[in-house]
Amino acid sequence: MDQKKKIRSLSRKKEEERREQFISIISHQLRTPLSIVRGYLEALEDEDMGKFTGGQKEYLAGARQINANMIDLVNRYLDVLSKDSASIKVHTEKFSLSEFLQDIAKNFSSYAKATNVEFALHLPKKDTQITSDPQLLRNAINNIIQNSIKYTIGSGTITLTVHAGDINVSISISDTGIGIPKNQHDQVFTKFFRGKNIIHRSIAGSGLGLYIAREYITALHGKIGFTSEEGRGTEVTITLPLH
Amino acid sequence: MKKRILLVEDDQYLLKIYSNKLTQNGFDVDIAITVDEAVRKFTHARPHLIFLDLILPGRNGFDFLEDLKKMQKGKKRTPVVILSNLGQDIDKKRTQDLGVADYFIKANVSLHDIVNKAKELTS
Repeated sequence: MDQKKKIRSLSRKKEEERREQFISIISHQLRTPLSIVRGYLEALEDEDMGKFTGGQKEYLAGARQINANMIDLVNRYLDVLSKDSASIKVHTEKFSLSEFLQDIAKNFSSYAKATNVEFALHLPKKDTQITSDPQLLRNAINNIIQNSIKYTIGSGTITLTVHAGDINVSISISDTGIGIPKNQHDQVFTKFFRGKNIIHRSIAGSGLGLYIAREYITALHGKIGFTSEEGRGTEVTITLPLH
Repeated sequence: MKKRILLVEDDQYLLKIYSNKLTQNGFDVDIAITVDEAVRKFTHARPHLIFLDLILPGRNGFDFLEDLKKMQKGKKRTPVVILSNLGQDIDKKRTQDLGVADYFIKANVSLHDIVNKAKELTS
């Protein structure tokens, strides 16, 4: 290796170490106070310090939810800082796509119910086996479903549909939510994107969910796209190789 | 007989929250704020389980894992669960290589999860 290459390699290594240290510091400093608040609120909700009235419990649940939203936001920022699709580590394994999606749907059932959203799962009769990274795929799908629930205001339906071919499988998540304004369609997968039609609705969000989902799906050699009509809903489709 | 847990944590608030919850659930909780204190307590009365923070004053949690590895060479190892707000792949990999039983990011884990893990690893 010539001298210039050695210097470049050392400089990249140092840069990477600095980035890791920076992430460590902010992980610790931002997550620690949120962990303490979480612990106190959970202990109070468990009535470790005595009984609460219904109204007090409601306030506690509200505080816990806001804290959980903050934790989620910090996790997303850390995710963005620590990963891009080129550096994401992929750990593939073979698994049943139907079982995997049923588990995701089950995890979202109580959240969907609490927000008056119906959750429908349309799977092929025959199970599809896929070789992919279940953790990355789960995170990507979770981000999309969270958006669907969040922007299906009042009530509505979210449908998760799978179409399996011989080489690829497509997973679509459609909602009957507020949709995305047409003149913003080209920005949807960019960092910190938020639709203009939600600005006055006070819906909390980081604008990172779909950006991260695309990073993960790209790392899995897949594609992600969407169709959306303002006032009618959005459908996000992931296409992945089966092997 | 109550199962003994060594909780290595330097944040006074979290120390109180975690130790109260574990005590309420029937565990005998011993606490250590530094690695040196943790080593002394481990040597004095070997616990059934250790919850270990990684960022500690002075020597850190990784150092304690190295110490434990040496102290338990050829012996049955006490399970260690990391309870830290660090969560990069590099941190997880490093602790995994040092033989930890599990890795929890404090902000992402509930008190119930911690109690359940303690029950699972001490049963």
